Amino acid sequence: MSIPIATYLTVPNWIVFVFLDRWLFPLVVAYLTALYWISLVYLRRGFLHLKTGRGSEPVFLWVSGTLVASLLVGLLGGQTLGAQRLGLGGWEAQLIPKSLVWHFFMTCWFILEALCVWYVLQFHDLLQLSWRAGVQVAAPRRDRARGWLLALGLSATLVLYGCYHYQTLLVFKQSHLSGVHFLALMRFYRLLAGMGFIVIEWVAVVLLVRGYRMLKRRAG
Amino acid sequence: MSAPPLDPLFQWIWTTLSADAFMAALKCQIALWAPADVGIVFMTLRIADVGRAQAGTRRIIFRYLGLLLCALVSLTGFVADSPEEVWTRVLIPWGIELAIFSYTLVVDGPRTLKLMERLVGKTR
Repeated sequence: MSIPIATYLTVPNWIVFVFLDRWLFPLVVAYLTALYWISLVYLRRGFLHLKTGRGSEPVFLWVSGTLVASLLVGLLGGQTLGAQRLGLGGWEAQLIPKSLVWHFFMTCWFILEALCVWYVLQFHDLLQLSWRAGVQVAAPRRDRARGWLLALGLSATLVLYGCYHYQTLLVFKQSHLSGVHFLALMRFYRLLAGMGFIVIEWVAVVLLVRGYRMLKRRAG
Repeated sequence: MSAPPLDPLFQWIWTTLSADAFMAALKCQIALWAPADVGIVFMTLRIADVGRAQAGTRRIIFRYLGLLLCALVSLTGFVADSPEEVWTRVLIPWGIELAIFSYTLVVDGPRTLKLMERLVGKTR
């Protein structure tokens, strides 16, 4: 399905076309994923540079880069195959695989953003440590607890994605859901993901404001 | 909406999440999300400006004004009539804000790191 570019500019809700278009959909997903990944790589590199003096970490770069690229190619390329395996046709073949892929990447963006905020927190802690020179503010146990909490939270996010969509598909197959019912379930997941984004983004804003104040005062 | 006899959560979603309720929830989310998203990029730009004598004309036009434009476009999501229209009005600013954020990290990151290194280096 291919639509002239002028259509996107004149129709108020062209996101529907982006969603249904064969080329624009993967392009938008790849663009957003790549930007999140670049941000994470640079934040991590900066943090390691400050913490240990060594910024470059080729293993992380290659492993995370390969993982992101494989997910993009595998999931975006495998949509049609997925629709065939699920035995979908008509609107179902168009909507269901794309919704699952879009939500998966939304979950990935949430995870990447949470990791970025994690590094913002680490920067903030380093600045605070230098701010209160001579005062013991480093707390390895607290840092470890935070790390576990983050790992648990992000794993739970992936589990939630898996369980929710597995259950949706199960219900869809067993009860022959209508498009309206399916759409309501998909919208609810987007609301859940949106709430997650709002929480971590406000945490990031608070940390950045505090970090900026500390940096500004110290730099004079 | 008649719901098939299914999972309690799904039942709850089908009975509670009417089109109007969903639009209201979506607009509430935009009201909470848009300032946070703009705030992150704005504070990142401010941090990158620390220690700089002047922000520079190109920098102001492309990044600060770009960000302001994104914020304004995001806010038009409030007058949208359908969820798809809301997302249409939010997706472009989101993509541009993310690009400004990543670009600032890549281009200004090394300079900000040097500044931070002077302050934090002693704690290593």
